[in-house]
Amino acid sequence: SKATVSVLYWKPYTYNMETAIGICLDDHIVLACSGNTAFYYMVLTDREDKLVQLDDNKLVAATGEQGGRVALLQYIKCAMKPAMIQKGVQNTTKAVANFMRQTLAGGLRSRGGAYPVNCLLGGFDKQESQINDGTYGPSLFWMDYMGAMQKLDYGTHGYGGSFVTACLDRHYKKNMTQEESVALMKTCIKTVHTRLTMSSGQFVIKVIDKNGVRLVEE
Amino acid sequence: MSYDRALTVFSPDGHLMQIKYAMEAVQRGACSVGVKGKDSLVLCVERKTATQLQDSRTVKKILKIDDHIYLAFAGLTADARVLAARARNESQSFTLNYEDQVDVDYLARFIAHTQQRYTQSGGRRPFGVSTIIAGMDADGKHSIYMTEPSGNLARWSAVACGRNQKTVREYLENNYSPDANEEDTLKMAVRSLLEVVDQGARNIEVVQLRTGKPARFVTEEELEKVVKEVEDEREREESKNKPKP
Repeated sequence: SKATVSVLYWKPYTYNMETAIGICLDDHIVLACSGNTAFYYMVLTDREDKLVQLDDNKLVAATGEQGGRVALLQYIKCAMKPAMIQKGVQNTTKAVANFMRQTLAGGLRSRGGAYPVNCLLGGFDKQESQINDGTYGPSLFWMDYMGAMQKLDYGTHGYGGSFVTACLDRHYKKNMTQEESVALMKTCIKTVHTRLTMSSGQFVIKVIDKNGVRLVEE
Repeated sequence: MSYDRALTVFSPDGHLMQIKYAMEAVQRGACSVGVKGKDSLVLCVERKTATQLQDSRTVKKILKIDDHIYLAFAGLTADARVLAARARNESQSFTLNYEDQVDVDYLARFIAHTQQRYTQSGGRRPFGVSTIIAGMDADGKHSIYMTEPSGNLARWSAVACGRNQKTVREYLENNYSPDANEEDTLKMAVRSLLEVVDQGARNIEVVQLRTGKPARFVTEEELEKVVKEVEDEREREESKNKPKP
């Protein structure tokens, strides 16, 4: 019989001073994520773009250890594509969110522990063809590393998120224009910079609307 | 003694009969053509006339493998569907590992290798398809490959497979020019297929890949225009060749 050596190593999830913010309006979504990437006490970069584009109009703002985060998002991006190419129609945001949730939950009791990723998935579904299940417009999904998922109007991750949620509770309105919502996002980011002890680096802000994804220049 | 039952048994004159018979299945399939131009690629297939109750949108003969690679085939449709699904997965797997778009020749070799594996172990049968793979690499290099049920692979400037492929290939050999622009390449492919297909833009499906632009299925209106041009050209040539009374 083969002698096997198995090592069970479970690393608890630790929040690492990253903040992710997502706001879903009537006809667009604004997502932002802090740019700080650190290795223990050393800052690697001030401005990492953690808003990963899954396809033409889906974006994931993800926080967590860089290795696991990048691997998971690359996997999601590539895993959704074959079925989408075969169908000929883009997956809906809800479908991608459920697939991501399934992947996150599946990691809990396998592969040495959960993926160390908390994320916000925002996507804009266009009215493509009859094959689509009829969903249209923007939707924002909040997901955490245990596989919890919730469709929200606005959501946050990280310590800075506590302050931002309060800010959004007060100022969020569903019918804001793109200028208003980007201004609100910048206010939220300022709140994070003001109240969080550790630096969050430079936030990257992106907007998804019916034309796709665009970067908001500072 | 019949040597054509088992796949893994050579006949005395060195043939694997099952593979030969798989090629026969390909010869009975609808014709497919691939033509390479200076900065474009055209895949052109003969489409069976749509039956009334069938939703013809779901019957595809040119399959998208990735944003930059399309596959046309001749032979058993279901086999091609399976091959295409594997190619799609392999394409994404490549991207996952190397973060680059898959190279066309890598994917063509993968498909050819898959087809070859099914010719060498028992209990399986070869894929009854020849595939024509057209793709644009990221650096602008574009190529057309053809695979066969045996697992053979070669790169072509212009190729046809399926019913009446000899006629189409002869036409291409006599008329192909390597530096054709987008329009001329499209016309060449359509015209070569019209040698063997009953007239009508409704019986043809065309995909055009162009450098720097997204790939597209040629619309029926544009196709009708091209078909009309081709028919006019043909009439003019025939009237020229007609002996004077």
